[in-house]
Amino acid sequence: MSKLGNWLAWLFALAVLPSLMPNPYVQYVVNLSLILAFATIGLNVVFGYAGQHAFGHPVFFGVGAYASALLATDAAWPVGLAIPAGAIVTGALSALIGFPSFRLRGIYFGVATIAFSYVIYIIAQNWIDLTRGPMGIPSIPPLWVLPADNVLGLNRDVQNRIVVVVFLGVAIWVLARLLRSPMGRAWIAIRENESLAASVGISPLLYQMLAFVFGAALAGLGGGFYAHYVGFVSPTELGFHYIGVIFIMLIAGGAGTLAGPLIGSVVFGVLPELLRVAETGRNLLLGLILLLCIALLPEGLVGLWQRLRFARSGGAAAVAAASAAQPSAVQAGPAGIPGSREPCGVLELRGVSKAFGGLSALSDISFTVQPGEVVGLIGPNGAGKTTLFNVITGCLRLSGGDIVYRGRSISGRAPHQIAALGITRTFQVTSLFPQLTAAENVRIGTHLWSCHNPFSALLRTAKFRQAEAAIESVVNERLALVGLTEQREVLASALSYGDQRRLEVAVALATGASLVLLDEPAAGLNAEETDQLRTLIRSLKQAGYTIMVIEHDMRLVMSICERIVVLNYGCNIFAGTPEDAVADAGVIEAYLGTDAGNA
Amino acid sequence: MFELALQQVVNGLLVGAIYALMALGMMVILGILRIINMAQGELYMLGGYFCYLAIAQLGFGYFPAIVFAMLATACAGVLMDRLAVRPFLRRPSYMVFLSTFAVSMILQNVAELIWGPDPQTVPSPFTSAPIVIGPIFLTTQKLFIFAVALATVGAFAAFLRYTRVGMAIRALARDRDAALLMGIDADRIQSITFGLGAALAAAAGALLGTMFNVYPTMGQLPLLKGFALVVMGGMGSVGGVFVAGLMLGVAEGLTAGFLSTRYVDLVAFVTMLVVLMLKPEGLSKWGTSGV
Repeated sequence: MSKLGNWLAWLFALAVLPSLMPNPYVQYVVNLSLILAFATIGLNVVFGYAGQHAFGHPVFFGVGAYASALLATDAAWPVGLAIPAGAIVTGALSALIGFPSFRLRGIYFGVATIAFSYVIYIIAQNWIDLTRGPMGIPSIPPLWVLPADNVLGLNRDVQNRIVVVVFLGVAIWVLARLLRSPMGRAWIAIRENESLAASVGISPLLYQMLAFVFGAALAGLGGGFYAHYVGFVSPTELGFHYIGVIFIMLIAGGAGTLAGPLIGSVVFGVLPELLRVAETGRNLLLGLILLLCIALLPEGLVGLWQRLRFARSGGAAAVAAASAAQPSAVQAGPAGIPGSREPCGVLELRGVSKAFGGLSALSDISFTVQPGEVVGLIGPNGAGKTTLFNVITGCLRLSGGDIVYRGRSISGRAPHQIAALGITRTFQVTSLFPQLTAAENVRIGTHLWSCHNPFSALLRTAKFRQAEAAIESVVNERLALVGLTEQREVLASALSYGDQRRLEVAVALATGASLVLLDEPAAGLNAEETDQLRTLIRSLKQAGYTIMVIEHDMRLVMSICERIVVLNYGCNIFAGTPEDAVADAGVIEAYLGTDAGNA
Repeated sequence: MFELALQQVVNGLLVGAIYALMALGMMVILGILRIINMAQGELYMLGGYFCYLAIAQLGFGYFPAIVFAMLATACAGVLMDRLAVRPFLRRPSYMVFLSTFAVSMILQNVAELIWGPDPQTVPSPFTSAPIVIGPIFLTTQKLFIFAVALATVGAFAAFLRYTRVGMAIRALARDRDAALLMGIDADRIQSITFGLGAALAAAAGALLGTMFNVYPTMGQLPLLKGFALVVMGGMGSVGGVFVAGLMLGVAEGLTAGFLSTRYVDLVAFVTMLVVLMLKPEGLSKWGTSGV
């Protein structure tokens, strides 16, 4: 628990040390920086952890300031109530903004959040009855923790700072706990690879929204402290300047780290003020700092610190020790399917069609997959095999027909909903969470059956700890199954190609799905790796998995599949045993052309 | 009532043509690099100040001053590309967003240090006597501005359509890899694109700056409206963006005339948000709608 001790020591120092400064202006600046840290941490949740480029998000700091200020002045609520209520109002407003915005992708999402932030700014300037317009809200009642100034020798600055630091500590603690729970793992999964996250059952929209709203509420809480500390709020707090400052604090401190936003806020909140350029050259300086940070310190101060420490401690040795500490388990076949909830059902395709504009990629495909089968899906390139997988797993909407699993239609459902029914997949092009270790990759795969109550995660209830222990044992077991126990602490992006393809299978298996779709698992593997894959698929079948596999390696297909479905030009031209497939005239024609027999 | 509407439509068309200039400048850069240039508004601001500098301090005529502003800002745009965009292109996409945002902060501050925070009036060579056409009041200045805006958009469209460089720009925007394989020098084209985008923004800033005033933060709103227009008019369609610009101008004019002048600036964003919600991905791509 020395880590916790470190944190407490630093927070204590932040609360107490500024009091030693004789200059009251320095204390004021430090307090403002600490208050802004709420917005930076909130932005970090959305931008750093969930990876959403919500460029307008810092506006919620100002929204919280307005909400709390209006509740305390117009509605005459006590300040202690107005601040949390303001955070809640901010969270609610962010939900209204986030929901439509998350329908957009890429730069359009960023543009929409900026546009929303500007809409809020314009409303604050012009809805004079509510916000009092450009002049702002003056004389907002201050926050008194103790009944008056200098009780116990603590003036209002010190009182406010102590409260802010305590709440910052709580916020960081909550975030730390969430990050070590399914919620935080889902955020990071979406940041790293959204489509893979969906295929293991994580709803992108739900977790994007949770990050957006949680981040906004945090920013709003900071805004509340700000309003009652400064005593005045104007549309400036909703403007571009604050958005820029908060981004600088996050990026320069270190996005995607716990300490980064706090360090960035304090350093880049205090530094420009102390350099005494605040009057004329503030933005010039901030802009230069931001440029330099992106150019020289893309991982921020925290990243710099870690790099320095890594270099000092002989980084390579540390990594070697970490991986050697793991016992290399004997590769064993699975006994039963831990983590799976229901046995596989029958998958039935009824006249499935998919058209892209005028191009028909799949037409009238019908076949059935029985529980426990290994079915090969083959056909020439462009026959529609991957499209069929995409349609089954909900990545594409079908244009006609129906797909039925366990007697219920699953067509039209989203990928994460289909994963929740026990169907998962791997991708044709290697798809992992590249900046996470092998073990973390598999851990994300367990999302569907982990403990989702965030309060259990915060309090580490018995139920939560049991679930996490079960997850760890499944992670170990799945890594052992695909022979990656020794590489468990290696980043997925640093694994060899063959290891990456096996890790994909381990991630898919961790979901507890009983029907697994493998898209060209042997592509690019050498003969030895292909043999390992064959053994793996056979052991999966023995363990009770149902498998559909797209593959061009015909020897592999012949040796593992009981049944083969052949597609050509989007049509199902054959379904039957491998032996019959090689004798079928239509199949031969599709692969070799019509003249093969005559020549 | 009808006369007011007509007057507002005419005023709106005028402002709309300038919006379209701004948006087109943004579109070429966005189309090629797929990044948001957050400092585009400051190129617009520089255009305004260079025009002011040329007329008020260097004694240029009005038209030469606009050309001067476009050329000087084009140089600034090329410089900006070299210093703040290229070094970060291989990084995650948000890096360029942040670096151009930093440039925007810096340029605003620099303009404030040089020319002061207060709005400056660009001396106008035109008489303020109105031209009356039926119920509509116009000034020669407004007519001149409208003509310059139209001519610039026309020249830009012709450039993209008929010159080799224009063709290279369109090719890069449509498929970067294929264009590179065809031997297009992407570095050079990117510089030209930035210069061009900056010149268009400068034209808009110079024209609107003479109509109103020039001040350090004058680029913020046009930046956002420019985005809105690119989104609404369709990425890569000069005609689409131009029409969207005119329509936005008219819509703003009518809003100001009949609803309230307070929320005029909301028109662009509300319309854009509606368009985005209805067609999240369905904005026409560069080239497909025929540049």
